[in-house]
Amino acid sequence: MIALWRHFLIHLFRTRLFYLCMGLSFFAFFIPLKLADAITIHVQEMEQAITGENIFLILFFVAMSLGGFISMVYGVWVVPYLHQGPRVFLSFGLPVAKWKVPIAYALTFLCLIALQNTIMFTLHGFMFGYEAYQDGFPLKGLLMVQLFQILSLEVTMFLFATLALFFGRIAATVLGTAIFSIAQVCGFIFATDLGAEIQSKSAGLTLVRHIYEILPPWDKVLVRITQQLKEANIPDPQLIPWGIWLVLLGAAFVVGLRFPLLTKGTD
Amino acid sequence: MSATVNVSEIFKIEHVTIAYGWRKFVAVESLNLHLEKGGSLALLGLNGAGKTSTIRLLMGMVRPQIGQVEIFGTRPGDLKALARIGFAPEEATPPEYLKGEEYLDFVASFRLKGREARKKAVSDLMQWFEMPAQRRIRDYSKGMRRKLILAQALIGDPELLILDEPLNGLDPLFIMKLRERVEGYVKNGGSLLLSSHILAEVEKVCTSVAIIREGQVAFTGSSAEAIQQYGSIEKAFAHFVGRDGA
Repeated sequence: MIALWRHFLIHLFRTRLFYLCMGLSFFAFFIPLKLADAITIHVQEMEQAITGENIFLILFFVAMSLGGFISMVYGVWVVPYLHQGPRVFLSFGLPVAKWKVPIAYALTFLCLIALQNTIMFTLHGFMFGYEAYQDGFPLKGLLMVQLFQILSLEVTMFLFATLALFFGRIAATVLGTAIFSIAQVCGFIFATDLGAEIQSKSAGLTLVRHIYEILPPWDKVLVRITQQLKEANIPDPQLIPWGIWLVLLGAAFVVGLRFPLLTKGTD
Repeated sequence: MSATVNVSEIFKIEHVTIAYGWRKFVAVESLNLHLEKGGSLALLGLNGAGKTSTIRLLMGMVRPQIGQVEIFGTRPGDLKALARIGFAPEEATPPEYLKGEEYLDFVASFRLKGREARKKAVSDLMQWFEMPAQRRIRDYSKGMRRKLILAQALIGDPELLILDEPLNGLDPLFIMKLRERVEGYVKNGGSLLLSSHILAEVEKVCTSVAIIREGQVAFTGSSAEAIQQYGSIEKAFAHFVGRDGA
């Protein structure tokens, strides 16, 4: 397992994706922090600066959007590299249990998320001072937010990686983005009165709702993050579907490794 | 009643049929093959005859629709079996972001215990195969990549060596050198399954041959037998798959 993980880390550090992601993370966090530092909100003659949890909320919203993009790129372009085309015969012949492979990829991706968050916290501390993390800081809430962030991004990464393994990179990008977008749109529709009204008249929409309910709850992540950071709602039952999806996608990925001829060669 | 395992048997393929895809394209039909410990078997056949499918079957990459396969007394693809096989596939590209030495070290980490043993095995192989240790694989020539694939198959002294068209892209001098190494490997008790179109090399290295024609075994026996009956392996091959055999 250690040898696999080490190898995957070398792969990650030697791709341009890594440097692109780190550069992108720096600017994606620096710009909103700089803006938050400069902006003062005026409400009824009262001046209010953006501080504390609100800044963290902005940062986590940015981290989730950027993380979604990184998980797509990592899942589609990096993960299938060793398990498709002419490389599959060499990878398959290694005497290593196939179930260890997705775990090693999950750990490698975790390092990427950790690096992204390190940039985020360092920049925040640098601009607002590290005292923000002392007394009264919602540490438990922050840990739960990180758990949500890690699980949802790992699920997204494995969704793209598994689709890329079976259908190829281009199809995976299209299919994965479609599934992700459908979940978002459905989440919006079903959260409104309009959705409930249409649903009462249409049996088709009821079916769509059933499908939506079994999809990973991407549309609820930002809401949960906000609640966790403000109220530290521990434990959160919303973590369960993410855990189930992670196991399911990991298992599907292992099937692709175990039966390489079922997978797509290359694009 | 319990099944007994023949310890001298490396693999056994019995009445195997392999079919691919939804349309069930038959690649191999009613195949019977076996290899004893210390034996060297050549798989011969025209392109598309079913040689690579047979190798994939032994590696556990495909499953038979009909028939049974055993390798080292277990099912193909089992980790214990994979640990005893050195496999050099015909079409393969090692990960290009690594250096040659790093790739061999990566493979060795699954086949050898101890950092020192790994280091020594990798260094010996890099030297023997005359490969630049510090150059990235993406800068390797076709021949060098081929050598690297062969080198990774030899890590950890496997009990069975499966070589699929090992000589593609190699220069004549290195082919001679490799032949000597493979001959030495078999003399020292290693077992070999070789798929090659270069019949002169097959004749020098393998003690038995299996000629596959359209997914079925057309001839199987010792190389000496084939040479005695047909004059050479080349002539036996022409007889079974060429115009004579048509």
